[in-house]
Amino acid sequence: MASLIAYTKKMLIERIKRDILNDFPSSEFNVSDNEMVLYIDQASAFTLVGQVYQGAKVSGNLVMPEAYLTTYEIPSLAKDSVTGYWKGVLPQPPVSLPIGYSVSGGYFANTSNGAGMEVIWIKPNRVGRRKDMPQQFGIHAWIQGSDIYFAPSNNIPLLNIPFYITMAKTRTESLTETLNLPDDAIEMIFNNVKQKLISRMNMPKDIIQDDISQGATNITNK
Amino acid sequence: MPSTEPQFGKYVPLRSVVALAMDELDKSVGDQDRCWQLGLRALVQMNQQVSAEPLTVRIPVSSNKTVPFPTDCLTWTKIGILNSNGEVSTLKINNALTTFRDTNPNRLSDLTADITDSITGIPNAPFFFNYYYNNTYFNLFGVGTGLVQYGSCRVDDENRLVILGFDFEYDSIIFEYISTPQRNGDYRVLLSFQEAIIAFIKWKLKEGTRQEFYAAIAEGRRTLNGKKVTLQGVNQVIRESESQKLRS
Repeated sequence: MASLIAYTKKMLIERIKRDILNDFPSSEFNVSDNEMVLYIDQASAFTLVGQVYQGAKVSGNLVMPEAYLTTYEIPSLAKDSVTGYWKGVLPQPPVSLPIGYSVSGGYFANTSNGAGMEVIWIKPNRVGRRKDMPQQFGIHAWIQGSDIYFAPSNNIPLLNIPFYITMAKTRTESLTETLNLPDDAIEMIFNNVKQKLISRMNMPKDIIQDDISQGATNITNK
Repeated sequence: MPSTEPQFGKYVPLRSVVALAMDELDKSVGDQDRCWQLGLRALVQMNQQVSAEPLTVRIPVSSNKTVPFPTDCLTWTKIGILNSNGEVSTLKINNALTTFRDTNPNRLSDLTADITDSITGIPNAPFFFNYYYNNTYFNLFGVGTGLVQYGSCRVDDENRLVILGFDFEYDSIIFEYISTPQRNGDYRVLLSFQEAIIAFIKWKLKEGTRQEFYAAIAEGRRTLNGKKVTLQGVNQVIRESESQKLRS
């Protein structure tokens, strides 16, 4: 099987720089890589949400493109002694899609038992009334910002049991990590970042508009 | 790693039925709890209507001659005692029995009789109650006899009690009832009603209709064990309905 080149954010940054400057970047181009990563991450989150809603027009359902998904391990949870809930911290707040799409799954796992059953996700507007309804057997989970809370139906302790969560990743771990994007999203991100940088640097750009009419002139063509 | 795949026997976990519905509708895990709640509502509704299998328990009679319902009792179907053939002999429902102080341990002593003309010796039941005059029973044409019954009771639904008459002579009763859906790790659903639950979830998510739900129930009912037509069942019906009688 042919081995393919892995796309990284480092490569994307380089491409954008060269495209803007029509050349190799010089010291006059004072946008740092970190700043460009912020633009890229912002654009990729924006593109992602747009793609999901575009996809819904085709299939009738929201579907998260698999390429955005990453599974993280949250190794240790802490129990809140007042509420009794267990709490962990996510690598980033989920994107603004309903739960089930921003986060597409989560389970506890360990070496002796393998992966457990899916936790029962509770949407924010249901957290308050969940105790007034019959409760499923299992671990109920809900998210606030970067915090994730767990409430096991049988109060089983979750100490030292790693939790695995699969969610859309729109942030950067390192510049050299493989881009977790569908290739068709790169074009939108590329253009989005380029426009922002041009505006940010107030760079003059030649605008070639071939369709402008000749206009009035006092020079005759005779 | 042990398989968590559900086994499809007579019963199937509600969670699996919900997963089938969600898969059909292409829902995400974020909708699982909502769909499960809908499935449970369907289960409760069907349990009361068609799909319940009655549970039978023996419950001791309290010292004040009342019997508390089991905690999971949705509605009762039979109250009685067992005869020597292992059949349930039902008690007579006697709504003249008072519910006055029926939750009180001292109920019996608090029920002070105002008149004292009640018949004694009922423990020697069954009596033939048709017509009694001058120490003789007469068979009156056109008057019903009632069933042979070994005691009377009244059901106090509010306090979830069976109230027995003072003359009830037995230590326990046989109580047959429809229970609320049972948890066994998860609620279990009769496989016959799997499609009905899916139809209910689709109806409530605006993906189906009420008519489809009831059609699925009717379809499920036909496959229930008690509804199956067998040769021996048909034979029994024919034999029992044939008799010497006036025909119009």
